[in-house]
Amino acid sequence: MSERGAGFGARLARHRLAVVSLGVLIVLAAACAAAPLLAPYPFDAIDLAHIRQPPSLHHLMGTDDLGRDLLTRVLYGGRVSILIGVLAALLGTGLGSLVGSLAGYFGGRLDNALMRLTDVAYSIPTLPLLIVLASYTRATAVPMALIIGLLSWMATARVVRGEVLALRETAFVEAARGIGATHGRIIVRHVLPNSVGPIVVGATLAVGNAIIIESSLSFLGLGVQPPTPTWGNMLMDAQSTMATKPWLTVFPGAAILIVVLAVNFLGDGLQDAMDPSARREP
Amino acid sequence: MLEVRDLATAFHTRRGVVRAVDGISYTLRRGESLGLVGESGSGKSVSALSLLGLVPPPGRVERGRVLLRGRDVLAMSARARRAVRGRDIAMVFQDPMTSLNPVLTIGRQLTEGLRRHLGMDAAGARRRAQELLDMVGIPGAHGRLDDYPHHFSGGQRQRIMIAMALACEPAVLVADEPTTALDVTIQAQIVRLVKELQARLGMAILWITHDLALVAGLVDRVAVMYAGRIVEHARVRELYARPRHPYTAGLLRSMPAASGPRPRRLHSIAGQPPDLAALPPGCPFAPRCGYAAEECRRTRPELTPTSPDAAVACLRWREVADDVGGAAGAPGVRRPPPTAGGGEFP
Amino acid sequence: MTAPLLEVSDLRVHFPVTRGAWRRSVGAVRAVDGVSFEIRAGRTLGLVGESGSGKSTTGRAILRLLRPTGGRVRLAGTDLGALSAAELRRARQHMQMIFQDPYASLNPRLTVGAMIREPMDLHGVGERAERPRRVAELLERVGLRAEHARRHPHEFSGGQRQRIGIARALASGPRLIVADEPISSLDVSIQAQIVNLLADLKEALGLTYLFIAHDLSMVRYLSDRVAVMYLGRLVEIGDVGDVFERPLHPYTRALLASVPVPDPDRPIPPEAPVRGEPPDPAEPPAGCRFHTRCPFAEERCRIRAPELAAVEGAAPGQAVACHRAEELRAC
Repeated sequence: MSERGAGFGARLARHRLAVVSLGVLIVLAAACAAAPLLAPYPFDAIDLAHIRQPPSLHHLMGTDDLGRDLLTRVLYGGRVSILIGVLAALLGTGLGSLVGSLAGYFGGRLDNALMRLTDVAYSIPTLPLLIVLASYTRATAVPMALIIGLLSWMATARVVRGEVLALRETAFVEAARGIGATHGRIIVRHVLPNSVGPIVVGATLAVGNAIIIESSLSFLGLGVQPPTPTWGNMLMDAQSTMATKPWLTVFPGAAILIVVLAVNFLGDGLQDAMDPSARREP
Repeated sequence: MLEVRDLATAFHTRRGVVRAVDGISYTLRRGESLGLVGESGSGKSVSALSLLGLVPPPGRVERGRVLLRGRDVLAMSARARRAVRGRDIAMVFQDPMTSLNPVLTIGRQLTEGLRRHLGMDAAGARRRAQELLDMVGIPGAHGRLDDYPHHFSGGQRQRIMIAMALACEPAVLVADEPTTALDVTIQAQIVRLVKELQARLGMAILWITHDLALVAGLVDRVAVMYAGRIVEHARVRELYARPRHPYTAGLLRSMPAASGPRPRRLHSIAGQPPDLAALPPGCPFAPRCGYAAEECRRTRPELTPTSPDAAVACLRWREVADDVGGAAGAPGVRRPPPTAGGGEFP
Repeated sequence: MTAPLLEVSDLRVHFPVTRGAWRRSVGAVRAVDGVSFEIRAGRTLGLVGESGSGKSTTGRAILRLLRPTGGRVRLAGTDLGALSAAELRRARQHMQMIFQDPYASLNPRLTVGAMIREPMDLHGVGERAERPRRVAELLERVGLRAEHARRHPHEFSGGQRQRIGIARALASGPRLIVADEPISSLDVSIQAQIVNLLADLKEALGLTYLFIAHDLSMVRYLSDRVAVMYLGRLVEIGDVGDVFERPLHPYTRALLASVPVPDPDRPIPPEAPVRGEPPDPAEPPAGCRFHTRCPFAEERCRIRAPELAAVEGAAPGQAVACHRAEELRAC
C-alpha cells in the first residue's frame, strides 16, 4: 500500500548513516558496473615497464606485479566481488529464512527433519566442500555465489526458527488463524515481517562473509581465475608485499571494508524502517 | 506512624518529563488502613516504590518527605534506608509468580530478613519462619521450609510474600495490588488473612489497588489518585456514599452491581487515561469530565478540605456531591451526570 | 422452535503430559472434560470460572483454534469437526473471536485498515472496490474514526486497540462471537465503555455471544444465561437472574460471596465459603471435582461425579451438578 511505502521511506530517511551508506553503495556499484567506461586501462593490460609503481598521476592507485593499473582492477574486481557478496547473501538468507520459518511454524516431524538437515549441513567442513564444488563448476561469479550461498544458510535458519517459534504463540497469529488465513498467508504476512530483525542482520553479515570466502577460494587457486580480478584475489596476491607495497593491499582492502560497513549501516536503517513503532534516532 | 508530604517522582525520558507522582501527601496512623486507588498511569505504584526508595532509573524522587516514625526515609543514606526496609516498613508486591526468587528455598528467603534485621541465629530464624508460615495459613509449615516457590500455588505464594513482609513485624505494610493476579475466591482468603493479621499485630496498612469494590470493606480511609495526584480522599463510608470528585463518582457509577436491578446501560467515563508526558493545562481530568467548565481547563485545582476528614481537588465538587446522593445504583441519585462533550474520543 | 445457533455436546480437551526425552505420555490435563450447552441466536451466554476452570480452552475449542479431544460442536447445524481444512477456513467467516490482550492480539506491522480488511479479503465479503469504505464504516461503528485506518496499533491506547480487535472480528460478518475475557486487561474506567459497545453491537447486528469472563458483575450485565465452570466441568447453568439470585451449586455460592461489593457496609464475609486451593488440573479429585473444597461434601460426593440436572422447585432453565442440590436449595 502506498501509505505503508511512504512511512517506510520516511523512517529510512531519518537514519542519516543508512542513507549515506545507501548512497555510497549505489555510487560504488554503479562505478564498478561502468568499469569498461570508467577504467583508464584494460584490466589485463600488462605493462612490464611500470611494475609495482606507487600511486601517481598516471596510475591513481598504482600498479601491481605485472604493471596492471590497480584502479582499473579495483573497478573490475568490484563487479565480481559485489555480485558474489550480494547474490550469495540473498540466496543464503532466503534459503535460511525458508527453512527456518517452515521448521518453526509447522513444528513436529517437519521441524525435526529440517533441523537435522541443518545440523548435517553445519557439520560439513566448509572449505573442503567448497574446494570440491568449486573444482566441478565453472569458476565464474554466479556459480561461485550459488555455492557460497548454499553453504551459509544454516545460521539464518536457526535464528529464524527461534523467532518463528516464539511468534507462533502470539495472540495476533492466533487471531490470524481465527479469521481464516491459510498457513502460507500467516507466514508471509504475519510471522516473517515480525522476524525481520535477525533476517536483516544475517543478510548484512553474509555479504561480508561471502566476499571473504571468495578470497579464500582465490587463494587456493579456485574460484575466479586470473586474469579476472576480484577484490579477494587481489588481496591474496598482495599478501607478501604488504609492508613494502601497501597500496596493493590498502585499496582492495578498503573497498571490501567500505562495502561491508555500508551494508551493515544500511541493514540497521532497514531494520528500523520496517518497524512502524521504532522511535530510535540513529 | 507514616507521614508523606508532597512526594513527587518524575521520569526523565526522551519524550519529556513524566511526572508519575506530582505532589501527594497523606498520613497513616498506627492500626489504620488507607486504600490508595487509581488506574494505570495514576502513579499509585510508583508512589509506593518511592516510599521505599525503590524507584528504578530513569525515575527519580524529585521532592517530598516520607516520615516514618518521625524520621525522613528519603533523606537517609542508602544503607540506613536498607535497614529500615523490611524492618519498619515492608512491601508486598503484585505478582507472586515473579516476586519470589525461584532458585532459593522459601525457608532461605524467609530467614534472610530475620537474620539481617533482627540478628537472629540460624535455628532461631528457622523457628520463627515456621511460626510465620503457620500464621499465614500454609498447611504443614514444618516440612515446607525447604520447598521452592514453584512448589506452591499463586495464593500460597502470596501468603509467603506476606509472611516475608511481616517477618520483622514492621510498623507499616505496603501492599501493591497483592490480589490482582489471584482468583476471586483466593482473593477473599488473602483479604481475610490481612485483616486478621492487622487486628492482631496493630500494623498500619497502605493498600494500593485499582479495585474500588475491594477496598470498600477493607480500609478505613480511601485516597483516589489520577494523573499523579490525589484528587479526593475521605473516610471510606463517606467516599462511597457521597463521592465529590467526578472521577470517583464516575468509577463508582460504572460498576454494575452483582445484585439488584440490571441497569439498562452502564455508565462509563468517556475518553482514555491521560498521557502523563503531555498533560493539558488545568485539571487533568477535564477532557473526560462532564462537569468541566472553562476555569477547569485553565487552573489545576488543589486539594481543598470539604470536611475535617476529607478533601477533594475539584472546582465543581459541590455539584458533584449534589448529583450523587447515594451509593452506586442505590436510590438517592437525584440527577444523572452530564455527559462529556465532543464524543467519546479526542 | 428453531434450532440453536451453537450446540456444544460433551466437549473434551485433554492435554497430554509427557515426561522424559522420548516424550512418554504419563497422563493428561483434562482441561475441558465433558461440557455441553446451547446458545440460541441473538442471545448471550456468559461462561464464568476461575483460573484452571477451562473456560478459555472451551472458547478456543469451539472456534477450533485448538483441536478438541472429543465431543461435538455444531454451528447453525453444521458439525465443525466434520469439515475439511478448507471448509473449516471458510466456516470461520461466521464465527470470530475477541481476544483478551489488546496489545498482543494486533500485528504491530500492519495498519489498522489492513487488519480489518483482511477477513473481508479472505472471505470475499463485498466488492473489492468498496472494502475500504466498509472498513471505514466498521471503525466508526466501534467508536473510532475512519482516518485511523492508516495508523499502526502502537499509536492507540488499550481501550482503542480492543475496539480495533472488535472491528476485525466483525469484518467478515460473523453470527457468533466468542469474547475471551475482552475487558480483563483494560482499565476500570474503560471497561464499561467496551461493555456498552458490545451490548450496542449485539442489538444492532443481531450477534450471538459466548462471553467468557471472571468478572461476575460484568457477566451479569451483558448475558442472558450464565454457565459456571470448575476444573473442566459445568457445575451450574441457568438464566442470569436465577443463577445470581438463587445459586444452587456450592461453588457458585462461594464465587458470588467472594465478589467484592463497592459498599463499605458489606465487606467480604469473615467466614470462608470455600476451603483451600483449587486442585492440580492434572490430578483432579475423584467423584465430584469440587468435593475437596466443598463445605457440604459427603461420602457419595467422593465416589461419584454428579451430572448436570434440573432441580425440583427451582427455575425451569436452571441445571446444577450437585448430589445435594435439592436439600441445599432450601437453605
